[in-house]
Formats: sequence, C-alpha cells, structure tokens
Amino acid sequence: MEQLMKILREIRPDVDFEKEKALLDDAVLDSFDIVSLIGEINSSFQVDIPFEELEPENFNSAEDIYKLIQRLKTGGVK
Amino acid sequence: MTVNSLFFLVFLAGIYLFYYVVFPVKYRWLVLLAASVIFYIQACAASPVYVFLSAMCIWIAGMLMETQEKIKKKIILAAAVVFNLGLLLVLKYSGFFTAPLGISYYTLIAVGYVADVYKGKVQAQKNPARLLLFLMYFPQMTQGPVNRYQPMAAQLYEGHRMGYHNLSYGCQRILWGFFKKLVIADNLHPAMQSLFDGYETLGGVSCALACIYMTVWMYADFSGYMDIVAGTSELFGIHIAENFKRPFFSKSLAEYWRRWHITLCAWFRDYMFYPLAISSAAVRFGKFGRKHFGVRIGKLFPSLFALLFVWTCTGLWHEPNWRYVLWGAANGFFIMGAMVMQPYFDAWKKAFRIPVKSRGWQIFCMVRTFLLVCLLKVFPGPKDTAAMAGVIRKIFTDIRLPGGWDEVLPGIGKGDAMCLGFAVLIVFAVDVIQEKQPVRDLLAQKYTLVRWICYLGVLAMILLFGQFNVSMTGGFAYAQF
Repeated sequence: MEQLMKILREIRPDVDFEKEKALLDDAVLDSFDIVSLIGEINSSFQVDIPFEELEPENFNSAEDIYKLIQRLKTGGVK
Repeated sequence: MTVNSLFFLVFLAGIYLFYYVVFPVKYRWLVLLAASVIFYIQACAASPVYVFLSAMCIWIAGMLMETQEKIKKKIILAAAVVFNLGLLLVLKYSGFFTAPLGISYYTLIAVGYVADVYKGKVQAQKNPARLLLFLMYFPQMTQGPVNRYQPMAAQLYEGHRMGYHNLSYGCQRILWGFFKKLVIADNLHPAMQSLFDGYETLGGVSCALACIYMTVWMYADFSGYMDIVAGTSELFGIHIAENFKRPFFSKSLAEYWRRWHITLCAWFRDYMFYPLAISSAAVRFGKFGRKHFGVRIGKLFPSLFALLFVWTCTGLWHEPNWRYVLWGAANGFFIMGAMVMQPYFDAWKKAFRIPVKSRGWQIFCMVRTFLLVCLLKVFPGPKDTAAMAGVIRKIFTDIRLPGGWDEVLPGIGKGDAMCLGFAVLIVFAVDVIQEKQPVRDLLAQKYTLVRWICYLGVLAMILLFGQFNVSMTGGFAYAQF
C-alpha cells in the first residue's frame, strides 16, 4: 500500500489520497493522471491492467486501486 | 421536421397525449419507439434502414457475447465495431451515398453499447425493439447527446406517470433552448458568416470578432438544441445525459473539453483514448519517452500516443478536412504543452507572488481560456483551408480597428445589436447562477407572478427578436456532422 501511495503522491501531490473516495466520479484525477497511474502500476507491481478494469469502482480511492492490484496479482476476475 | 419547428411542437403534444393518456404504463415505451421511427422518417431524407441494420447488428452481437468466453467475445466485439464504423465510413465519407441524419451519433452510441456488454458493465438487451428504441430515441437522434445504455435503458422502458414537475421543468427548458437558438444563434450567424466570407477586405480585429462570434454562436446553437431535446425528454420523465457544463467558466483548455460536448468527449476518452493509452504499443512508447526525455515528460508519452489518434479521429468525425485535423492538432498542442510547462508556470507564479486562489486570477484564467477557444475557431470558421490561412494572417499581421459598423456586426442594426447583447447577457447571468445552483429550482421557490414574468419575458423576446427561418436540419451547427 505504501508503494501505491508513493506513486499516487508523485502523480498528484495536491490530492489527499488518504481521504479522497471519489477520484474518478468527482473527476479529481483526469484522464492523463489515470494513464500515468496505470503505466506506473503496471511497471511497479508487474501487473497488466486491462481495458475492462477501467471502471470508477476500481479507481475511486487508494484502497480500490490497491484491491484491484491484489486481485490482478492473484489472477482473480471480477 | 426539426426540433425548432412549430410542427415538432404539435408532434410532441400528440406523443404526450398517446404516452400518458392512451397507452397503459407497461407499453408506453412503444409510443416512444413509434414516435422515434416517425420522427426519423420525417426528419431524415434517407431511409431508416441503416439505423435498423446497426440496431440488428448490436442486438445479435450483444446476445452472442452473453454466452461466449473472453476470446470469442473479443472477436464478436471487433466484428460489431468494424460493421458499425464501416457503415459510417462508407455512408459518410465515400461520397457515393447521402449520409443518413444522425449517423455519426447513433454509430457511437451503438459501439458504446457493445463495448459495455463486452466489459460486463451492462447485460445484453434481449428484445430487439427495445434496443432499437435506445439507439434511435428521437430527442438524441439529430445531434446527440451520445447516451450510454446503463442510465438510459431503465428510464426508457419503465414507463412514467404524468406529473406537473416534469411538464413544468420540461417546458421551461424547451423555452430556454428556443431562446438561445432563435434569439442569439440565428441572429448572430449571418454576421459571423459575412465577416468570415469577406475577410480579405477586413482588418485583424474584425477577423478576431468573427472568431468570437463563432464561439458564442456555437454555444447558443448547440447548447440551445440540447436544452430543447433535454426538455423534450424530461416531459416523458427521461433524463438524457448533459452535454454542457458552462464551458466558458473553464480555467484551462483541458477543463473546457470536460465541459463542452461532454458526451462525445467522454465517448472518445472511454472507448478510444483509454484502450489506446494503456495498450502495449503505448507502454513501449512511454518507455522510449522516459529513456530519452526523463520521467516527467516521458510519462506523458502514452497519452500523447493515444491523443494523436483521438484528436485526428475527433477532427475527421467533424469533417474529413485538413482544417479539422489542424484544429485537433492545435487543441492537443495547447493541452499537452500546458502539462509539460506546468512546473515552470508554477515557479513563475510563485516568483511573481500571484495569488492563484484569488477571484481576480480565476477570472483572468477564464478570460484567457475563452480567448484561446475563440482563437482556435480560425480553423473550422472560414470556408476552406486557404481562407483559414488568410484569416490567421490577418489576425496576427493586419492589426487595425474596424472601418465602420459593417465591419463589426454586418447586417445587424445598432438597435438589434443592443437586443442581441442583452440576450447574451441574460444567458451569461443564468449560467453564473446555474454554476452555483440549478436555476429552475431557484425559480420554483419564487412567487407565481415572478415565475410567469420570467417565462413571458423570454417568450416575448423569442417572438420579437427570434429568427424563424427553418432549414432541413433546423440550421443547427452539429446536425451536419
């Protein structure tokens, strides 16, 4: 989780990722942030986030993103 | 039949009666389907066979995808996308056919539906007639919005009961749309066209004015249309997606594109930008960027890769013309440029102690963005590429004030110009209020007399200053796409 928080803070230092629960729904992260974030996550966590997973429920908070990473690492599906 | 014609209002009254009085709740969606087919045949010179074909294709694709595993689903998705986009390309760009009205919009809606079924976001619709209604629902048919299946389906099929709230709010919004379209857009358009057409004899300031008029005209025209169709839909208790969110209050070009033609931009973002930006080719491009340009700029490379396709397609979607490709490239240049330069801008702001949260600075950013949006109208505004180059040259090299009133607002007398300016001010004031709270909710809290003064005032302006020359597409700017 700490590694993910570091990536998030690097991409958007102005956002409080501890509190924010609607990163996508409230457009806190824009499309460029999302693309950068996915690139960082893919290389840092050795996962491959597919197009189908690009849904608000997977990116609305740091916990949601962390859960997605864990699910992809264990080969789980929705 | 166009949505700004008297015939449409009569047609609407007929549907309203059939929907709420004649048909029982369970079958009310059939009234909307029949109305949509009649509207399409009336509004569109071409046959509705193409939209039926698209609907049939996505119905079959959806049903097949429900029962297949992932790889086969991908093949079905690809086949449905190729079929629909292929039909669009052949009908719109080959030059051999008359493109049916609204094809650019319903094709995107169709592709969005199959992509959502593929992603498992929605369940495939089993009833082809219901799917046909989703695809050709008459308020969205001419110029969008590019609706998504999930929020629309339940609303379309459930059947609604007659209510004062929907009737009142729907009529208010239709009236407001007519005001924007007939009083502002249709009065301003000839003056703007005249300046663009006669740019050779004009100075740079007149050319710049043409760009500003085009920005105001497009907003009044397109958002006016959206108000009419959103209000129409609201009469039946159906809330279609919003396409505008006060775009001229944006503080950057990127924000502007999140507030203007929202559903089209969201479609390109979700179904084109994201899949391309996270594709393996984009990831490789990103690695190349990081290696040669550092982490900060390199991380923008996947987005840049996707944006090249998205902006080219957005440009071509409007019209297969170099002007639109350049327009797309210019938008991409400013948006990406702002992102690359962000740290330097932040450092300058700090060095000059600019109070970035002050109202003054916020207003400055809005005015700057508005002027940039106006400037970008030099690409689509003039009639061809040569005229575009001429207008750009004039704006930057021939800086002289207009020689007379004919070079400021040609064809519009000073009295009418005052009325036009007043109408623009009213729209601006309403947008300022709407930014804080919904104007119709605010109006609903006022006394009946105050409300009716507002309605009748708007109606009087429409009747006194509105233009009622209705062409095939109602003169709506975005219907041509």
